[in-house]
Amino acid sequence: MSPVDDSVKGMAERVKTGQISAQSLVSSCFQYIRQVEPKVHALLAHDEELAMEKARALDRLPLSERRELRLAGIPLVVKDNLVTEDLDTTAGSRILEGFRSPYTASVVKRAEEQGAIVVAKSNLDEFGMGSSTEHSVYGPTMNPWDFSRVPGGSSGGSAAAVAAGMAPLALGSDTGGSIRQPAAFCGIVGIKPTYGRVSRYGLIAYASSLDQVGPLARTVEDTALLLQVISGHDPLDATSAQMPVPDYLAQLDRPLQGLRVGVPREYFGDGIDANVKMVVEDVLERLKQEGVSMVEIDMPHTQYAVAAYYLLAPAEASSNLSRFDGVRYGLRVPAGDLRTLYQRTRAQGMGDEVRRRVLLGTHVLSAGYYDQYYVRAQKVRALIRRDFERAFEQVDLVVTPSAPELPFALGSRADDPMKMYLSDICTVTANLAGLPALSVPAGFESGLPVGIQWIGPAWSEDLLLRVGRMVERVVVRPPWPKL
Amino acid sequence: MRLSKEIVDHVADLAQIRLKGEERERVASELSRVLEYVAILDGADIEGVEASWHGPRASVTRMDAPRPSLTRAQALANAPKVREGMFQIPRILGEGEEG
Repeated sequence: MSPVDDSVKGMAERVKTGQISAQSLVSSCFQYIRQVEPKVHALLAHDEELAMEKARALDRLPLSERRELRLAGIPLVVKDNLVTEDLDTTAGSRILEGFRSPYTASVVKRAEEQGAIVVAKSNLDEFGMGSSTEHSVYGPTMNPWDFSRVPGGSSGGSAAAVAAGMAPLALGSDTGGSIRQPAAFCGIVGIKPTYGRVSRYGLIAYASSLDQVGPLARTVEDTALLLQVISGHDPLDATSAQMPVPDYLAQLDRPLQGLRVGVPREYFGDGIDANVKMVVEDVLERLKQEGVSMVEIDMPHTQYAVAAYYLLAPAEASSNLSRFDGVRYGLRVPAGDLRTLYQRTRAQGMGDEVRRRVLLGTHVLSAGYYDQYYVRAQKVRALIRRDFERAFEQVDLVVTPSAPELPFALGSRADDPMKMYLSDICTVTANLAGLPALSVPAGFESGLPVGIQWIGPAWSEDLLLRVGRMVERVVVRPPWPKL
Repeated sequence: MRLSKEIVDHVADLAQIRLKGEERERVASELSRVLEYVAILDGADIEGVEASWHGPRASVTRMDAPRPSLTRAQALANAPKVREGMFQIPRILGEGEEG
């Protein structure tokens, strides 16, 4: 049975007061993982003995110290592109097989300082590049609601682990939708924070101007709790903001009066599955009855978002991934000269999709193409940001589906990169504009989860979470899958 | 625009990724398809638009002060090949040597 039987707050409370021990929580978590992991394949490195040792240390803390820990004894799954000293970090790539980082990502440290126990690293598309978790050298992850379908990606391991009940909380990263789309596909909650809200120190960089780390959980409240713990300035990440972090939990149930929501036509038209649209519109209808006003708006540059993203993200990736060269860490394919060593190491160490993006990014940055592709995409990025600025003059938030389709069948698009890229059509705009965006379950269609996405102005995570909480109240959700 | 094999070779060379014969074909057609798709951007009116290089936050600086960092042993711990406390690579001057 899944050890996740209560809210994170409730579980931590029981650990704090000694009603249950962290050891029994962590041990039941591993017991359950052994049972369901072979069906889901959400996890990579784990070390039960070490996790139990940490749980024991937590149980031995004096009550006065233990009660200060917001995540006392809570099992946590960490996407495998966040480096950890205690467990190998592979980023789903052969080039980092067996890599043990000499330091731990700031977000993981913060969660551990609050009593969270990392039980495993989670599967992902190699270096975060993909929308299905099929581009992992360690094999695909299955969707817990239907094993023949993908869990989304790239944080598919994190999302599937939470939906399967292996752990109540997971950390993911989101460059073009990699938290929100898998959250939607797995019927859970995920938020990509405002760029700069959460430290990227220790996140293996894919596209540095777009990447953000964020939480995945079963409820908005659990999501808010983990976001609270990981948010805030980190001197080790120059792009993390020196902005005060509001108390997300305290505000969660503050009533929302006179809320105005923008419904952009561009996100409800061509390319969006009719069933997904129906489920999302049904939620909007119910929210109207709760007094939320819906305003149809235009965001005319949305049509350019995927194209701009697939120029900018690969361009940044081509630079970021140049560090994987067989010299300082990771795979090395020996050769007689340095150039051949680089070329063979990178050819053998990187999977198809990663090579594709590195080559694409290299091309669009190369002499003669830079203005045509890269500079143009940066200008379009400014236009997309302007669409949001204009929208937020009229409305408080913008609502869209989280993904254009239901979770698709494993293997159905692995060979069609362009079709895979279009899975990100609803989510890339928030990354391009640096805005926070939350995906919450909107309902089910044919037994498969559908997510609804809320995008807000910079630093409006508190508002997004409050709306998410409201959505939870109007959506009826089925029991979690029995695995 | 269809990418020529010459361009693919040039890009692979810049990216330091060795492509085999049949891979060059495939990469050329996959990248061409993406470039065909991104041509949609030609329709965007970017006249007079400032490029947006950053997220919502401008670049920030910090004091250039020394601070603790990895020890040499930690920094070298993952290196495939180490010699006398340094990363070892094949000889780049003179005769080649197994790296």
